[in-house]
Amino acid sequence: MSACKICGRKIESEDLCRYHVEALNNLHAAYEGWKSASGVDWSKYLENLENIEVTGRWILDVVEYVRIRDGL
Amino acid sequence: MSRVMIITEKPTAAKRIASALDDKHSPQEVKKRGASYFECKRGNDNLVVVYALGHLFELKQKVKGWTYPRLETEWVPRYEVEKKATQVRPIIKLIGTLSKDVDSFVVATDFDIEGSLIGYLTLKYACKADPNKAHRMFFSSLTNSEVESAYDTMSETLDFPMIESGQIRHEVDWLFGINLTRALTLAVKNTAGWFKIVSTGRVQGPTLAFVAQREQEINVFVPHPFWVILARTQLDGEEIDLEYSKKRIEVKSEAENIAKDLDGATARVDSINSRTTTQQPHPPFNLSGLQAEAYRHFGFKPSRTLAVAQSLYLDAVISYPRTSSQKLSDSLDLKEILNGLKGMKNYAKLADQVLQGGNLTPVQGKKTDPAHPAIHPTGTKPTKRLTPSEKKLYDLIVRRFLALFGEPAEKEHLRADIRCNDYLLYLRGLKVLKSGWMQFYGPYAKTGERELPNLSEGDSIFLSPVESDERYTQPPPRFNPASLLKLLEKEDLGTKATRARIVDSVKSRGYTLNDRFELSTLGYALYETLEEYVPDMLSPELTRRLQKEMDEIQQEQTNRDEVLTKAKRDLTELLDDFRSQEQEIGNNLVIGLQRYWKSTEELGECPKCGDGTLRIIRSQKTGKRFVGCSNYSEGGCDQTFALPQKGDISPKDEMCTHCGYRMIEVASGRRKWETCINWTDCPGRKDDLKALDDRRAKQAEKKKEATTK
Repeated sequence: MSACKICGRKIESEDLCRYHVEALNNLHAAYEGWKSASGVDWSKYLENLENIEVTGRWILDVVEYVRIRDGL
Repeated sequence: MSRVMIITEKPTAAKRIASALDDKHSPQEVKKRGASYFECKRGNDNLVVVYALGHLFELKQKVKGWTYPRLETEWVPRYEVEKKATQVRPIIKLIGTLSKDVDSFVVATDFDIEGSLIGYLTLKYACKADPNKAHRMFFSSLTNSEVESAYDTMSETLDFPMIESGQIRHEVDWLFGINLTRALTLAVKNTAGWFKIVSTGRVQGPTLAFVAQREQEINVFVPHPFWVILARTQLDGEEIDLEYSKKRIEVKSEAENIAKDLDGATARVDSINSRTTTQQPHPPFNLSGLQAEAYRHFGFKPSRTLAVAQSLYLDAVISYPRTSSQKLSDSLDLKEILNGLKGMKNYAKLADQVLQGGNLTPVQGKKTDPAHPAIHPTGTKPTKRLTPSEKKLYDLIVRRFLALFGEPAEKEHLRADIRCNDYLLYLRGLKVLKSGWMQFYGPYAKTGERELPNLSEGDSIFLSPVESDERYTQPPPRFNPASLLKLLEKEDLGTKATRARIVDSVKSRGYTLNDRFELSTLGYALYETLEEYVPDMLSPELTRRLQKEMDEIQQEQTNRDEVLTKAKRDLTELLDDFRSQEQEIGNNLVIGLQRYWKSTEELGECPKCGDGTLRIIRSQKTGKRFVGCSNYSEGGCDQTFALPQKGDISPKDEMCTHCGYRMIEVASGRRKWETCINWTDCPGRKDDLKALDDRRAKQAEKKKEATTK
């Protein structure tokens, strides 16, 4: 398979295209900040992002992808 | 007695110039087969004032065929490349006939690159005259005095460096625009067999890249939480919000503790501080400054502002608008302009105030333009009734001009520091001590004045309620027409005359979805494809370099042949590279186009046959649009829905809560609303329909009244 699991673009790594890889990296990088600011766990963090209006479109895509992948 | 032909840019400019130059200010318009010219007399000269319609001649490829590369061009009458330009033919013919009986030629088009080129091409191809023997009039406004002075002091030669620069700009834009657009379009055609114009250009490509890169930043944005403290109190029976000294608190528990400690506590006014600042008037308008301010106050797109300003210029009420200058030249008779404004009802008082004040030295900006001063009113009264848009823009320009002579504004900033244990809160006030220039700028000067409640040091303040509120960091904003134009100016892409059109083209080509420049799926497909296969087409470097070389021609530091040869070499390399990857490029664009059509035209499964897809269709017979089923021709499904005929329609993901049909967004001008495709029958939209009927009835009544009058 050479297509991104989310959007069908060419994959870069981890079954994702470069845009969704960047989004996934940003998602992971921001978690530490969220945890120290409000003490949320990973699952609650993802849930919060889904409910915030300004969360990036590709971030929402990878949130859903991570939920399915990790069975959350 | 000599017969002089004066070549102008537009019919309105011709009329005004003829009127200014005629001894009696009453030229005679002679009409001939779909065109006209003006005859006037000035001293011993008989003047024939003719007009172009913008460009009468355009570039055309020498070798036939809708393919690429096509690198050789020639100038031909515009109607040969633009079928709709039928009105150009009689004008060229008339100018050609009149020029046979003329002793000398004078170019009186706008003094800029395009104007100079229009004059030159008209002379060379319509008059068949020798451009080396023609004269040039230079002016920055169309007032009688300036036009007369420009005629009396005309230059012996044309501005050839500017003409050369204009020619090369057209040639390079044609080469890149035509060849790259054909390459993209043919890549789609050769892959899928569809003919859909996919356009790009020398500046359009980098502009698309700016929009796409911003969209990507927004798409990968993760908001971070922070907390603010919302504190309130009651003073003299009025609820007042207080500002907590720390604007954002990074940790939730800290914010909650602060709110808990302050809620219901009594604070004390520790001190009241005052600080006075002065603010100088804003500099005079150049085009981009005017476009930004008109967008801010009236919501005018930059292209609209330019068009309205052009119309005011042609009416001689403002100076030439395509200028980069923020300076008013020393030769301007400011007193005469102010006296002119004094004669206008709306500005009489303000202009008189400036004249009485005695300070006739305006504030100047930094930017300069060798050809024209900053935009300013001429003091001449409009000869026609201004349209509402013209009125607004004229008011802005006049007030900005008057404000240049005003004194600095003085403001007093007050801040009450309110303490409660270790916590500090503020109450702020702002008072304008001296309005200075702001009184001239009127509604466009934001004072931000707000009163500080009646407080004294030592006063007690009961804080309630006090809460912590969770907020999130925001992604970078999408562009709007004004901010995108500003970026192009900062990046030195395009010219003051072309930027507004380029900004519009990104939307009109379907690469963005609305005025907020949200990238469409088509825009994405084009950007990603070009970025991967031919990134030079998106690079601002290439176009910036070409721009620099064109400027150097104007400054006589290089020549046209050299720049053109180099541009053709660069383009050929780019096209060779493109052709070798045409199949992959085509595939990517086809996928993007499919997604685009799906997102803009498809409205989901047909509720009637369950087999077809609902689509926005335009009737070939009536030209009206409606929703129909894709299964109409094969399966005979006749499901249709009516659609509003005005505005842009974009399908939404949501379904109507009343009837369950797909929702759509309709955007017409600055008005946007949402409805469902079943809006004519939807039980939840009866009120909307009634309101629409009422509105129509009212409009019909108004129309009837106007006709009766």
